[in-house]
Order: sequence, then C-alpha cells, then structure tokens
Amino acid sequence: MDEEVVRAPWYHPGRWLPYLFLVITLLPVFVGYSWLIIASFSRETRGLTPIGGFTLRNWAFLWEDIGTGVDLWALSRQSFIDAAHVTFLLISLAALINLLLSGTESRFGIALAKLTKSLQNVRAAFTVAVLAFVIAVVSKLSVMDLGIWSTLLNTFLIALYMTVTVVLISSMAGYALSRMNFPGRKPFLSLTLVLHGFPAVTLLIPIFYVLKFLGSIPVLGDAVGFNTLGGVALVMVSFQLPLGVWLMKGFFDSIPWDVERSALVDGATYFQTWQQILMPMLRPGLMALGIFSFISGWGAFLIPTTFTIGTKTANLPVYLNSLISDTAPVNWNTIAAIGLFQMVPVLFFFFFAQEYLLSIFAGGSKGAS
Amino acid sequence: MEVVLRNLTKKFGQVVAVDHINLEIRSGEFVAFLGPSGCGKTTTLLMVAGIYKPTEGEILFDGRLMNKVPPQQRNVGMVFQSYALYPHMTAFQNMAFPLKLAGMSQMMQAERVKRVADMMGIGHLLDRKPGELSGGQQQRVALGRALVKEPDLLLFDEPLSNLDARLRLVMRGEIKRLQHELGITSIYVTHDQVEAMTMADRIAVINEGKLQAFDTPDDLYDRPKTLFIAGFVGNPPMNFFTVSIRRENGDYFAESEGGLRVKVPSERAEKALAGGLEQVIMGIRPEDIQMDESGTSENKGPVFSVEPLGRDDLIDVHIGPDSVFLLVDPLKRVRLDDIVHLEFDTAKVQFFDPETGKSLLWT
Repeated sequence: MDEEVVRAPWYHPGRWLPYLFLVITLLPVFVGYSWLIIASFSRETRGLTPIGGFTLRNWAFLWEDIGTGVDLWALSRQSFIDAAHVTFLLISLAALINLLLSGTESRFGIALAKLTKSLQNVRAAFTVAVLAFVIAVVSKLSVMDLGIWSTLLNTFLIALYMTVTVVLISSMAGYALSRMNFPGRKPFLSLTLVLHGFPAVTLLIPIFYVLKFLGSIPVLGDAVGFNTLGGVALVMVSFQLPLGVWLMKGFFDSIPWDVERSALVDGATYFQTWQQILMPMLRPGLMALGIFSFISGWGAFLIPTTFTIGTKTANLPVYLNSLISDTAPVNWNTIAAIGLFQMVPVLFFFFFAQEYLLSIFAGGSKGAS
Repeated sequence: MEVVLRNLTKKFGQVVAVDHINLEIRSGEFVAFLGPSGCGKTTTLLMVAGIYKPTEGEILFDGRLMNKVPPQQRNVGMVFQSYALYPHMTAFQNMAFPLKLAGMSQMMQAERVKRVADMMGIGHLLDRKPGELSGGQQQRVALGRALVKEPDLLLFDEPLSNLDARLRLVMRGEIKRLQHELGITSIYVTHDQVEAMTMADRIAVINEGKLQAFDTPDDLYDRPKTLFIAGFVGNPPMNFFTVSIRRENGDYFAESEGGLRVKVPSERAEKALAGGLEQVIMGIRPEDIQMDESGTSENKGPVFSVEPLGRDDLIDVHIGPDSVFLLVDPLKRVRLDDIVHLEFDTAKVQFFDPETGKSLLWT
C-alpha cells in the first residue's frame, strides 16, 4: 500500500502544539539537571553560566579524606585467608553431616544429605569461597574510614539488604496471599494497603523506641539496633513491603493454577515447582521489584537521617545533607558533584533495566513468547 | 491399572463438592465423567491426581491406597483445559520436563520425546515456545507431555473445550485412537455429552457432587435411570410431559392436561402404573416424533420456533401448554405459526416419578 499520508501543514496547531506543551512543562526539569552537570564541573555558576572556567576540584571528595594507612594488599591477603578458612570449615562440616546422615530414611535427613552432598563438588565449593571472600572484604572495608567510599558502601549495603529482603519476603507472602485461603487474608490485604499509604514521618518516634529496644538485645542489637545499617534497612524494608507484597500477589495471580498442578503431576516436588516453573515465569516481576527496591533504598534520606548519628553509618543523601550548614558557607558546586555521583547507579538502571521496570505496570508475566 | 473410588467426598468449608462417589474403573478402560459445570467432576479428577486431598473416602490404584501419596509419586499423566504448558520452555523442554524430573539421561529424554512427538505429529515444532504454537499444536504438546512418561493413568480435564469445532472433532478421534492403542486407563472429564458418548467405554454422570449413573453410552441413552440423565444425555434433549395414563379397550394412553394424547406400549405403561402414581413424567426423544403429513393425528399445534441445524430443522410445536421439540427435513419448509400434526413413536418412551426423578422402568 503506497498510500500518501496526509499531513497537516507545518503551521497547523496539531503539528507543533504537543511539542510546545512538552517542552514548556519539561523545561524546569531539564534546566535543573543541566545546572547540576554544569555546576559540578565549574568553580562557580551564575544561572547556567559557569564563571571562572571548568574544574575537577568539586570531585575531590572522591580521593580526599580517605583515611591513611589503608593497605589494600594486606586487606585482600587477610580476606583471602579468612575466606579459605571459612570455606574449608563449611565443606568439612558438610562432609561430616553427610557422612552422619548416610542411611537415614527421614525425609528431612535425605534432603539435608542431598544439600551437603551438593557442596562437595568443585563448582559449589568455588562459589562458597568467592562469596566468603567478598563478605570478608566488605566487612573489613565497612569498619574502615574511607571518606566518601565508606558512605558509598553504606548506601550500597542498605540498598542491597533492602532489595534482597523485600524480594524474598514479598515473593513468599505474595504466593501465600494469591494461592491460599486462610482466615484473615482479606483484612491483611487491606491493612497492608493502608500501611502503604501511611506517612512514614508519623511513625518516626515509635520506631525510635523499637530500634532502641532492639539495640539492647545482645548480639542481635549490633546488627539491627539504633544507629546501625541493619536497623535503618530493617525500617525501610517494612515501609517497602506493602507495595512489594501487593505487586507480587498480582504477578502470582496472573499465573494459572493449572500450570502449578501440571508441574506437580509431572513429578515435581513443591520446591521444584517453585524453582523451575514459578520463578522463571516471575522473573520480570522479581527484577522489577528488585530494581525498584534498590533505587528507593539508594535514595533514602528520611529514615537514615533520623536513625543514624555521625558519619560512620551515614549514607549518601545524609552525607549530602550534612554539607548544607546554616552557619558556614556552603559549596554548592561540591554538592552538585556529589548529587551527580549519587545518580550514577539510578541512571544505569534506567538505561539497562527499563524493560523490567515497565513490566511492573504491564502487570504479569509475559513469558509466553 | 485399576482405579477404585470408595465413598470419595470433598468439602470446601461447608460446601460439599463431591458427595460419596463410588466407582470402579477397569484396567485399560476409557471412562468419562459427564456433568454440568460446577458439578464436582473436576474436583474428583484432581483428587485422583493427588492435587486435592479427599475429606473422606478412599482412592485405590490396583488395590493400593493412594490418599496420602503426593501427586509426583502417582505416575499419572494429565491434560488440562488451559493446556498448562510452561511458557518459558520450548515444546521439547515441556515434554522432557517429566523425564528430567525422573532423572532420565539426556539421550534417553531426547529419544522418548522425539518418538512421542512424531506420534503426535509435532516433531517439527519441538524448538518452539508455546506462545508460537497454535491452539491445536499446544494441545498436542500437552498431550505428548502427559504421554511421554508412560503413565499408568491418563487424566483429561475438558481438554478440547478451548479448540474450535472442527479441530475438536479431529482431536476427539485422535485421543480415542491413542487411548485404544496404548491401552492406558483413562478418565476424561467433560460437560459435552457428545464427547462423552462418542469417546468413552463407560460414562459416569455426576450432578451436584453425586454419582447419578455409571453405564455404557448405549445404556445411558436407551435406559436412563433418572430424569436428570434423560435430560442431559442426547442432543437435542428429550421432551418431557406430565401425563396421566389411562386404559381404554386394552390399550394404554398417556394424556397431558394440555390435550396431548398418545398411545403407549402396554408393557411400559403397566410398569409406570405399578407405583400407583396419579401423574408421571413421560419422556420422548425428538427423533421419535415425526410430522404427520396426512393430517389425521389428533396431536396438533402451531410452530413456535424453527432452528435450522443444517441437516435438520429443530422445530418447537406448542400443544396446549406443552412444548414439543422435533427434527424435520428442511425441505419441508416449516414456517412459524404453521399448524402441524405430530406422530409419536412411543416404542422407546420413558416414564419417571415426578417426585424423586427416578425412572419407573429401569432400576
């Protein structure tokens, strides 16, 4: 079909009005971001115009203030030794348990024996070793004072903790809410929705008491008490969960029961059904929720600033806020640079994970093709 | 494999979905569960598969109690109405899934899947995902997946109701042929009585969770034991009239209050009268009623509706308050409001107790 598309002449409002509308409404956003980029590379700005030429001085926070005496070589050596210890211990323990369980007939025993057996191949052992090494390095870094990099690590840990926990709990709760019928299911669903609409600010003081109490518990208190990363992340997880649970419930609703039944009849156990059928079908949803949680954890300000004191547990938004003082002159150009720095992972996600983020709104697994 | 259901009951809260069903299915038999939607036939099937746990009663496979055996250990194959294919896997992976779970080697998996796929005529589609297959092809993959593990029992849950009419006819023949060749005991759930009649060796008619009858298709059609079966089996459905039976000069006549009057065979009439009921329900199938073109029959009335079915026209003739459905040759060009005379062939007439709905002829 070679039909000529009839287009209105250029002066017809239908041709340019939508663009005009978009440009005008988006202009403030555009100007804002332009300023951020220009300012972060200038000595001073007036409006959008840099004064005194471009400089990298604003980015000095990346290499200044890093505590002296950080010996990367010693750090990695020590981490390597620790990881080797842990891996050796775990594998020996697994082998021992496996040996003890040989000949068992209880179902739990058999499952445990299978698990411990699976640890004894080279690939699994290597994975454990790498994981142990990463954890050792991170835990050593997190207690050092590395200036902005410590703050960055805090931000990352909070976001990561939040992502993992939210995805894990939401997927399980979503499954239960979608598939099972238990007393209190409906009230629970409406309650979570109400909680989602609840402004976090009103709960700050009660949460403070909760965290204080948690902090007074031995061992656990060091992980999730007041002024710990774990505590901050825990609070944020609970604010994020209602959304996550509802989202996952929706995704599970879109998977027909018959698929699960079919897997069971085909010979899958409940765990295999979850792992080999449900999880792959849910992958777009899980990715979307994970990215969503990560971004909201990354940019969180209110809860970290309320429940942390000092720089040791601060994340990037809190650090940024601490630079704005009432009395001393504020260097806005440095703030612009740090703001831009903080935006990098968010931009990264939006470029590479758009497809998954959009599937939140498309609702459901499109795994069919 | 022989399947026995003994007092099988399933309750969802207060609702009784399946009510004390007793069935014995012989090895290699093709049994259909027939009933209207929501009658509990699918629930029964899911209990046999092990997805639902019975509230009461027993399921026996070859005499072995299966109530507590999880579905993955029952070695049954199941075909679902929605096909229930795994969308993220190719047709090959879908069909190999049961074999993979059974721990079969990859070579063996490929061989078995290939063989079954060729038998089903989908050998060339194995690397496609379900989303890229047509409805009929998806249905074949689902059937192949159920067959590939060589199950002891095949379960079908309305497998053809999502297909178009033509394809349904083809698949009907294929499934029947396959079942016959493989000799696997099969249970086929359907609400379509034509499907049940044409495919099954025996049909279990279920209504409101209760087993109404378990008989061969011919028995269900010619000797319906309840009013429900008589009305449900056969298309177009049987005509029912409330009549009283009178004896005149050694012949028996059934008369309705609306003026319908037909002569009935004395053997059947006597059985109907034996209970001493004042009024009984008489059932006559549409194919046993003809148009009387000589115009001598006293049973006549105006044509209320005409439905062309292609080979026949289904017409509805009103005799007083009674409505009589019959099939006529389209060439006769029956029009609305024509007065037609009817001739009843009462050799296969049925009588039912209006209170209990039970047949007065067959027990």
